[in-house]
Amino acid sequence: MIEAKHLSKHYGKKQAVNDISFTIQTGKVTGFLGPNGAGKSTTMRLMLGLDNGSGTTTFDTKHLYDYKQPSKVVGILLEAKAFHPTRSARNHLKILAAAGNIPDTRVDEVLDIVGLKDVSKKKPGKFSLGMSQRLGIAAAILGQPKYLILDEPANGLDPEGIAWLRQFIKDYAANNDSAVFVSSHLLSEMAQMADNVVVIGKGKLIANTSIKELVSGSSHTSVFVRVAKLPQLEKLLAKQKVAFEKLDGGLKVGGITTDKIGKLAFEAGIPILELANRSASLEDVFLELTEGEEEYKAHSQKGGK
Amino acid sequence: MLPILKSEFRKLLTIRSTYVIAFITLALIFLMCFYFEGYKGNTGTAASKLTGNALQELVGQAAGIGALFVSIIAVLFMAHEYRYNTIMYTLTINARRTKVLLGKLITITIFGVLFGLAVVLFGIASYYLGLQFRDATLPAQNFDALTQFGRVAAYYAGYALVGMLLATLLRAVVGAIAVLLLLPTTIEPLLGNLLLKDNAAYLPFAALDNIMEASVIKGNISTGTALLVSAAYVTVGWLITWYLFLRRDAN
Repeated sequence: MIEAKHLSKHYGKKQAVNDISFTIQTGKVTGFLGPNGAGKSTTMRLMLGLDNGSGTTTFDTKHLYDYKQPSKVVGILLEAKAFHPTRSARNHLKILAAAGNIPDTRVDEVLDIVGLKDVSKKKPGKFSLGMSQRLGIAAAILGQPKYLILDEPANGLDPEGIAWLRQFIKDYAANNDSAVFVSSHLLSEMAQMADNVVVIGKGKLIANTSIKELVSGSSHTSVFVRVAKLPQLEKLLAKQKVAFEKLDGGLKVGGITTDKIGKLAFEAGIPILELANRSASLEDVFLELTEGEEEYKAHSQKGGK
Repeated sequence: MLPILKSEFRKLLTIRSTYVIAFITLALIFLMCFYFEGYKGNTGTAASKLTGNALQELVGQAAGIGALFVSIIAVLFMAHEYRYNTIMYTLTINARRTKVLLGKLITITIFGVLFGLAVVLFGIASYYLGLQFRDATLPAQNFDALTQFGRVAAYYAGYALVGMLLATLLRAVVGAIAVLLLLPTTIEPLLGNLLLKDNAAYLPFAALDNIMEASVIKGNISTGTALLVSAAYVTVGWLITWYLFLRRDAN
């Protein structure tokens, strides 16, 4: 388990990360969400000791610097283009392997895993963003670490690459009793990939829970019901003080289960034509949680052509 | 420590700039030692006049040419870590910053010394080749090889360490190279002429160059004193750099 406690960091008067604490459980993928400038990258850097701030992060109760071979504990991808542009991809990885006391044979293995074997002798300066991300992932898994910390690993990947990455991350967390901590702006991807989620905004922790709980607790999660006698059901719900609104010839009802509506309608003799749960998407929840927490907010054009 | 050293040497030897700079250095050394000193012999130095101090002076000249280049290699070695952000890998694969910095210091010192010795040996070989073409022979030489090569080793280690120090502090290739070029050639001589006079020989680069008696600021300073003063500058400079390396964010 990774345990981050009271992480804080400020740049001058600006508080980039403000007393954030959370845990990352093994066997699970934990997503890391937040608007641009929320402090996600800084938090990851603080966790790894790359930035000097306050707070502590332990990996299975020990600090990273207490491990003899940290490369076996955590693998990182914080920036896609973190390599010397004229040093070949293979040499880049061989340098990291040597530093981590990892045999050179592992370099060829990881190049094969990420699909860069054919370009291993090429200079990565001319790699596309997607290829650079793959090289970054190869670097992250080089030491077969227990934990992966990945910052926006899907950026620049094509749809096939994204699908591969999603499966890779899920398998990595499941198969090795490892854990993956991954930030991404692709919320639909995150919804498919992550078990838990940490949400921050303006450097503060907003949520640290499972995706299931997060979505079910959202105001966007509702029940849709279509009945033969709509006015009658409206009166019934109003009497029960249940909030609803008209939608698509039926009602969108919040704060009630399908079971309860079904029972109410049955007892009132109202024939039900359609009854379904409408879960909020992760995007709905994210926007709801981070409303007002955006560091940089865009505005719609007015009077534009 | 061995894995760090292996990794750091790989960093140095797997980029083109190391070889390009080494080639330029050797080309300049060859031009000076083979052509001007050996073959033409028209520079008016002891080496061209074939006196008993010819070899000693030649070693000083050759060492002086290559020192700045080893310093530039050291700048690139460190500054590229920040420029290309590979420092984040370096500091997570080995999370103890002091150990990482020590590994880098040892690497660049060994590289600097070997580079210096190679440069000087290549210079001597080129000089002898030039003499062959000139049909000239050297008289008996006043040349203590151990002392001379020891000075070269200290001189190159010093320049390599200063280059890496500047890169670690400034974290920028251009800034560090600008300081390397301006301090010994412009700022220190100006300070010497305007303020310090003979004491200017105790300025950092002047002291370092006086190890090989290659400084434009001569002053009244012996090789031994120059060595001690340089060592003091490098030690104090690196203590400050080490402290900042531990304290600053790695980006």
